[in-house]
Amino acid sequence: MKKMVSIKTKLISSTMVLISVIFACVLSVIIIMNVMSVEKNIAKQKKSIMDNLISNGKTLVKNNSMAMTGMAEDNAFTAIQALVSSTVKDDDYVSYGIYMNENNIPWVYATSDNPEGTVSSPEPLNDSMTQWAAALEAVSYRTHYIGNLEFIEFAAPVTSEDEKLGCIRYGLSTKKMYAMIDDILAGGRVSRNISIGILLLLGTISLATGYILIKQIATKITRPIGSLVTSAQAIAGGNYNTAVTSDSNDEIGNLAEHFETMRATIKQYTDHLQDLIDEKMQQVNDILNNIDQGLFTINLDGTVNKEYSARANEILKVDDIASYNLNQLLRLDGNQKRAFDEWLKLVKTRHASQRWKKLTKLAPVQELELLQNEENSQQYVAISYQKVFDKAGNLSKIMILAMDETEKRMKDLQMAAERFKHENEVKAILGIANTPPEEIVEFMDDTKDRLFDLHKEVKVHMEGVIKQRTNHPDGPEYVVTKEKIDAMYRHIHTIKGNAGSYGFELISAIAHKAEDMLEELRQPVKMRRGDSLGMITEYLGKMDEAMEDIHQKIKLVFGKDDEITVRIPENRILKIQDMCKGLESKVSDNVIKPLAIECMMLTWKPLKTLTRKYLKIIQRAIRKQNKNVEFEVVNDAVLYPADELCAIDDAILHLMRNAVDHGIEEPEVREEMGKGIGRIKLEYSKNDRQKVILISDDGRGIDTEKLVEKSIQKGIIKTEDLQSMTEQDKLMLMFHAGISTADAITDTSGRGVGMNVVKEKIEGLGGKIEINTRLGKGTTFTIILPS
Amino acid sequence: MSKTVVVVDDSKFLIKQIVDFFEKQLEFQVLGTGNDGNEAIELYTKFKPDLITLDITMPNKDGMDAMKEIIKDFPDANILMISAVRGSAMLECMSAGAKGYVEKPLKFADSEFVNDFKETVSEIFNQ
Repeated sequence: MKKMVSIKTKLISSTMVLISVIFACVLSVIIIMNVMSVEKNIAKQKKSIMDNLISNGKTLVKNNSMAMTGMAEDNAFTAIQALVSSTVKDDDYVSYGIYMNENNIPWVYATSDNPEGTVSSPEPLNDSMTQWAAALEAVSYRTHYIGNLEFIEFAAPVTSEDEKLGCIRYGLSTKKMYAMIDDILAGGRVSRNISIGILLLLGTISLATGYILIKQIATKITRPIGSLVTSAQAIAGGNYNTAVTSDSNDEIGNLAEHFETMRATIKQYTDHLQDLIDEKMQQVNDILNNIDQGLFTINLDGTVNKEYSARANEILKVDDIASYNLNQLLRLDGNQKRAFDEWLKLVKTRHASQRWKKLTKLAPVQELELLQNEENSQQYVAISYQKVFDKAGNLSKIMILAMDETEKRMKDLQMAAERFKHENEVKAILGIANTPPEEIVEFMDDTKDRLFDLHKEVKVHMEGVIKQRTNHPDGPEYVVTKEKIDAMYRHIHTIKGNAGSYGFELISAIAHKAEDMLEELRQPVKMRRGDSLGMITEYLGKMDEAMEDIHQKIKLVFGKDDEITVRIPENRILKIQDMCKGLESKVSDNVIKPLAIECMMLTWKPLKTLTRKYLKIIQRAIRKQNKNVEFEVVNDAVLYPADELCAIDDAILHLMRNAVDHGIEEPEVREEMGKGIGRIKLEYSKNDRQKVILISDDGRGIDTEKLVEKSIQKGIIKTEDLQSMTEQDKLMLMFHAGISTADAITDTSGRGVGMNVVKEKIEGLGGKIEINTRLGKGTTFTIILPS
Repeated sequence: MSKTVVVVDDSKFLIKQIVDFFEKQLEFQVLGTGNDGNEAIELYTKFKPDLITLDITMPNKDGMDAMKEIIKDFPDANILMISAVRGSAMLECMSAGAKGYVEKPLKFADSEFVNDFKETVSEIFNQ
């Protein structure tokens, strides 16, 4: 802020400066002129004194020399002395007087110290003045110094008829003359000082008068400005009510008029503005009260503000938002409260530099789960945050929006349930369609049997519970023994697992709940045993229903109901097969032989069923390794005796696991190579002579070079053997006891039994194994067994 | 001159993806990669890159501890958290001085995710 200097002060000071400058100029001109005239006057005076002095001196020596001519002729020594001495004594101007003869010997030498001028020892004078005087022919004068004193010496020869008798000399001191000049000068100075003094006095008087006059004028000029300033200050302070008036008839009066117009306009405007604000506030309140969203604002320190929407009370289940704190409103516990404070701090420091979306995502509360008061059900409230800026554009508040999402959530849940149901239906149908009918029937029969047993068992226990309660109303609860629970658990667990593997997930889910309830029975009593058993019965009932549903779908998929619901006890089939055994080779009858074969085939199963167990085991390995693999069993609907592959189960499993572990690459590697999902294929065929099993993968293949290198390293072969080895020979090194699959394929360690065991097993059955591989493309193992 | 970055994550596969993203989409120069918190500190101290990305859940020393140690020695370090951890841990990292965060999974095929990632990085350098 600049230092305030009033116009009045400025006016006075500048005028005063002007007067002072003019006065100083006048004064200096007068002084200079005065000094010049005094100097001129002094010089004139000095010349006239000097002229006077010289003329007096000349007359003196001239008169003396004439008077002395006679005295000198008569050698009137005493008369000369008397004349000289009286002259020195009487004339104030004469400092000394000398009379010397033609030989420069002084007869008289009178000074103020020796007024008589007696010369005690007459010796000729020999100074420069004496020589000058002695040489004179007529009256003359000359200036000289004795010490610091200036003298004018006047001298004249004393002659008689052209004969020089001597010389008269008088020294006049200039001291007196200068004293007189000084006196004149001093007089001049005094008169000058007097005139300066008079001028100064006049100046001071005119300055003082000027000041008083100017002050009056300035005050008169600036008074209206002062009143304008006062009015302006009032307006600046927000008071538009006092009118601005001025009776001044100059520019200031004009300004005051404009000022008054301005004040009136602003007053009108602000009055209107207040109306507008009131109106807007009313609108905002109306909106806040009618809005279907819970809105309230908090400050950056977490305090809750007064304004909020009426709906917010309802959604957050309070009577007046403003009388609660944030912890209560958002149901924050200790940790959340700390986190919220932390978040507010982060908002304060980062809101300008970071997107609001990202900041609000970090807010500790995104959703509230509140209990509905009446219905005792959950209410879901979504919480979101908005920035609120003040007039200056700074973040001042955070608006919190609370939205009741219960209805939406319920719909979502309902939809999820619906979706789950439909998915189940589809999965169930797909499961049925993709499973050989025999297998489905087997599952259905097995599950029905187990459910039947479970119903029976639970019923027994229910009765036990009732009996216990009747007989011992206050006694301990009925106990279901661990063995019984285990037995039921096994049944339910099997149902769960089987149902899951065929895609009947609804049954799986119910079985899972039933398992939990069975666990309840093991625990110390938490709920009444009867209730637990009741729940289990309910679940069993639901599973019955689900089974019926699947039964309907089976009919739908496989068509006729009777085609698959014929149930023949296994022992009867075995009996028939037993009877037919050997018939097909013994008889050549066209009727009997096919009949016998058909009989034998009664217990045959599709290849899909025979290979299912491999897939189940392998799937587990795949999940563990996070690989993405698809299996294909070629011609999986062809029927084979149930034990067709039993003998080489281990070998097949081993080769398939190898394919998963070492053949198929990691998903990211495959993606990079553009290979997509991994594929493992199993092919089985047989004829009269041999059975052929092909297990192939599209993985990384076997690095023969590496295999050979390792074999040499381990001493299995020698370098010189290589020449005689075919590619197949080299690959066969893989089956050597000292080599692990990992050696040949990857750097990671191999696992499980070595390939040598696989080879031994196959050779033990009279068969052989072959390998085909292409690096980066895949590997195929071919097992050939005799029929 | 392109900006420099160090990428730290315990998954090699994700490191590759993040590095690719920085090199191809943001034209950063990747100075190094690490698999745990200790390596993060080592790499930061060695290279003093313009940016370091950190996973939170990592073996040995987790990303949050590593972040705090880096901030202690280099208060102006630009740290970008890339993690599947939601909620309070992320808030704690941001409060402790991380300059930004990106949530896993890394959906580099999703333009919304990619834009968010880019914007997060540009925010860090405009702070």
